[in-house]
Amino acid sequence: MHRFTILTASLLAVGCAGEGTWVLETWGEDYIEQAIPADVFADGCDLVYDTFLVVDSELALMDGDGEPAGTIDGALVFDMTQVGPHEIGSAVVPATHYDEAHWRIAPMAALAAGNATTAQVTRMEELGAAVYAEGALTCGGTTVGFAWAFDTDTTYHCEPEDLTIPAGGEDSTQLTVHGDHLFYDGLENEDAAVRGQAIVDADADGDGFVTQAELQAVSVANLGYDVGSHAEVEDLWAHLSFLSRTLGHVDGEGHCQVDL
Amino acid sequence: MRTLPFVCLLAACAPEARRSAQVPMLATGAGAASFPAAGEVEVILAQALVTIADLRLESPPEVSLLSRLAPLRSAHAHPGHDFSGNVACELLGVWDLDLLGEPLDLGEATCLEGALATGRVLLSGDAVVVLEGEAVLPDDTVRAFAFELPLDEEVVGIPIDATIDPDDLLASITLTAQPATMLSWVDWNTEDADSDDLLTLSDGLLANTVPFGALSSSSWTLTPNP
Repeated sequence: MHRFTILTASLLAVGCAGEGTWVLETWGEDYIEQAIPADVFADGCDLVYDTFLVVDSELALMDGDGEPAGTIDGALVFDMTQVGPHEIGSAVVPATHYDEAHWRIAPMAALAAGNATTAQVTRMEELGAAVYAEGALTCGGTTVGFAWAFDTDTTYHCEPEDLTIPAGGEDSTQLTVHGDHLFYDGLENEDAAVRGQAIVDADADGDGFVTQAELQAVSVANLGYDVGSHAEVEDLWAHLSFLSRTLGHVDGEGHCQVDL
Repeated sequence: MRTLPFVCLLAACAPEARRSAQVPMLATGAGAASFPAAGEVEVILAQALVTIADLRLESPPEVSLLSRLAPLRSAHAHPGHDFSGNVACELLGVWDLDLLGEPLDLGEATCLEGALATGRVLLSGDAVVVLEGEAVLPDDTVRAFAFELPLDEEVVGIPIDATIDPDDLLASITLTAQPATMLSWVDWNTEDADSDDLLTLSDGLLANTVPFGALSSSSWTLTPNP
C-alpha cells in the first residue's frame, strides 16, 4: 500500500506539471543597430548598417523526445537595425525545463512582417533572400557601399540558457543576430579576425559600391583567409555567404549547431 | 524500497558506456613526385616534408545534453559554428612525415566505440611544411621553388566514414597528405620579386596561397582500412 502510494504520487506529479508560455525574441545588438567600430576590425575599418533584414521561420521549442513542445508559425521578416529586442512570438508549452530550440533562417515564398515594413517584406520576397544587408564600410579613408542578399538556408539547433517554463508563468529565449560575423577572415578558426579591407579592395570598377560579382572575382586563397574544412569556398562572395549562416546565436553569445 | 523509482529514473537517464579500442594509425603522402598543375604546368617535387602532431578523430556532431557527458573533450569551431562532434579517437605525438617516402606508423590511437565523421591534425612549427622542386611552364621555363611554412594551426574537418567496433576492429586508419592539392592554389607565373631565381613565400601572394593549400581539408584524407 505504501509503495503504491509513492508510485501514484510520482505519476500524478509528472502528469499535473501544468503549462506556461515560451516567449521568443530577436535582437541585433549594437553592431547592427548602431555601428561596428574600428576597434573591432583588425584592419581598422568601421561599418554602419542601414538595413539588416532577416527571415525567421520554423521556430520551435523541442521536448526531451526531440518533438516540438511549442511552435511559432509563419515566416517573419525583422529589420534588425530597429532598436530591439523584438518579440517574434510566443507559445504555450508544458511547464518544465527545456534544452533545445530550433529555428530556420531561409528564403520563404510567403512572408509576413515581424517589425519590417510592407515594402521590406515585398523586397525580401522579390529577392528570394534569407538575409539582406545594406550599409557602408570604411577602410583607410575609403568608403564603399554594399547591398547584399543572401539566399542561404540554415536551420539552427540551439540550447537556450537555463530555460525553465514555470506553470502559469513564462520564460524567454533570444535569437541574437551577430552583424560582425559577415566580416571574419576565417570560417572555423577560433582566432579569426574581423576584417574589411579585402572587401573595399574588391571594388574593381571603383564606383564606390561592392557587388556580389566583384566579390566573386576575389580568391580567398590570395587573401590568406582560412576556410577550415570548407574547401568548396573559393571566392569572397562564397566566404560571405557561408558566414551569413553563422549569424544566429541563442541568448546573446550562445552558439548553435547548424544544418548546412 | 522508497528509493526504487529514483534509482530506475537514474538508470534510464544515464548514457550508455562506450567501450574503448586501440586502432593503429598510419600517415603517408599521395601521388607521384611529378604531377600536372593548372595552366599546363608540370610540377616536380624534390622534397615534401610535413611535421604533424596530435591527431584527433571526431564523432558526428549533435546538440544534446548527453553529448556533453562524453569523456573526451568536445571540439568546436568558431566563428563558423560548424561544430564537429566530440573527440572519439586521439593519438598525441609529433611525427616527421616524408610525403615522397614510405608510410609512417604513428602508433595506436585510443578510440571510443561509435561512428567517426571528421578528423583534425596539428601543423605547428617554424618549418612544419617543406615543399621544394621545380615547375615547368608551357614555354619550358623552369621555376625553382622552395616553400617552408611556419604554421601553428590545425587542419580541421578531414572527412572520414568509419565506425569503431571493438568486436570488429579496423586494421588501421591512414592519414594521407596530397602535395599536388596543397600546391594547386599556387600561381606559377608569380613574379620573382627578389630576383633570386627561386619562388619562395616572399614572392607575390605565395605567403597566402601556399599555407591555404597546406591547411585545406581537401589536401588531406582519412581512410579506414578494414
